[in-house]
Amino acid sequence: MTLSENDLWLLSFYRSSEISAALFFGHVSRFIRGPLQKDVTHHFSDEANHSRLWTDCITELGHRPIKLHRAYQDKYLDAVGLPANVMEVMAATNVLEKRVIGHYRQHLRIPNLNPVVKATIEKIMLDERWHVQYVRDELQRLAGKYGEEEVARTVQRYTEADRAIYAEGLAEYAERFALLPTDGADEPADIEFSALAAGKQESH
Amino acid sequence: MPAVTFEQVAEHIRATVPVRVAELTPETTIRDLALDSMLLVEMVVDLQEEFDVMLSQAELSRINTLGELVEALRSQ
Repeated sequence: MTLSENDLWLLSFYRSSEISAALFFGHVSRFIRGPLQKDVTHHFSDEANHSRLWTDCITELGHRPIKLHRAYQDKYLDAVGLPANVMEVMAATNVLEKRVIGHYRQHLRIPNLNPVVKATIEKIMLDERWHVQYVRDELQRLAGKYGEEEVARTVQRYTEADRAIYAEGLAEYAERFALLPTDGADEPADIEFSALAAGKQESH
Repeated sequence: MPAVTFEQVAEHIRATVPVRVAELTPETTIRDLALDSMLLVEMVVDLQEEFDVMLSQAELSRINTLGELVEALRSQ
């Protein structure tokens, strides 16, 4: 089972986005202090591993990844600005991770999905769920330092930017994303911060 | 907590940015450091974590020089 040109582009885009995430978390791993250092360094290694999984997937399907210069995160940071402090780093991560889960979930709904691609996404999703969980817990802790309202406002600001960028990406790469189911695609796998503060569990 | 000094900040910047401490002065601009965006995030968040300070995007956007950065770190 081989890949169409659009499939190859999309899987290469996933690979490129995972590489960008790893590079970002490499920086975060260097400045983060305290108990969070262990989780963030684990996160950094997960993102690097995900890029390896996509590389393996594409190679197993008889192709080479396409080199792409712009990842989802780059557009995101262009729009919302660079995170100014640890809370903003975690808020941005919270929104991005929910987006990743939501997008991969849409991909899993493609009829007759290539089993190699399906297995790759399922492996990655296991890690992504943990990422959302530990970042959510950390945001709750940071609410004590930065203020719950400020954290909620920051998550909301990043969520709004994310929705706009995702919609823009879907329009810009309409052909590339043509196979993805569209219902619910414009929303990240949502858990609002008010729900986080109340200690509710993610329902996914 | 004792006031943050320029020398302390310069030492921390050196840990992130490949530059000699002696080359850093309060007049050195952030632009002079020629950081890419991720290194800039690493440098400013690292300093906030080290000196237990919280700066917002708006506050950071008003900072041009290392002297101004030290003042911002001292102000809290």
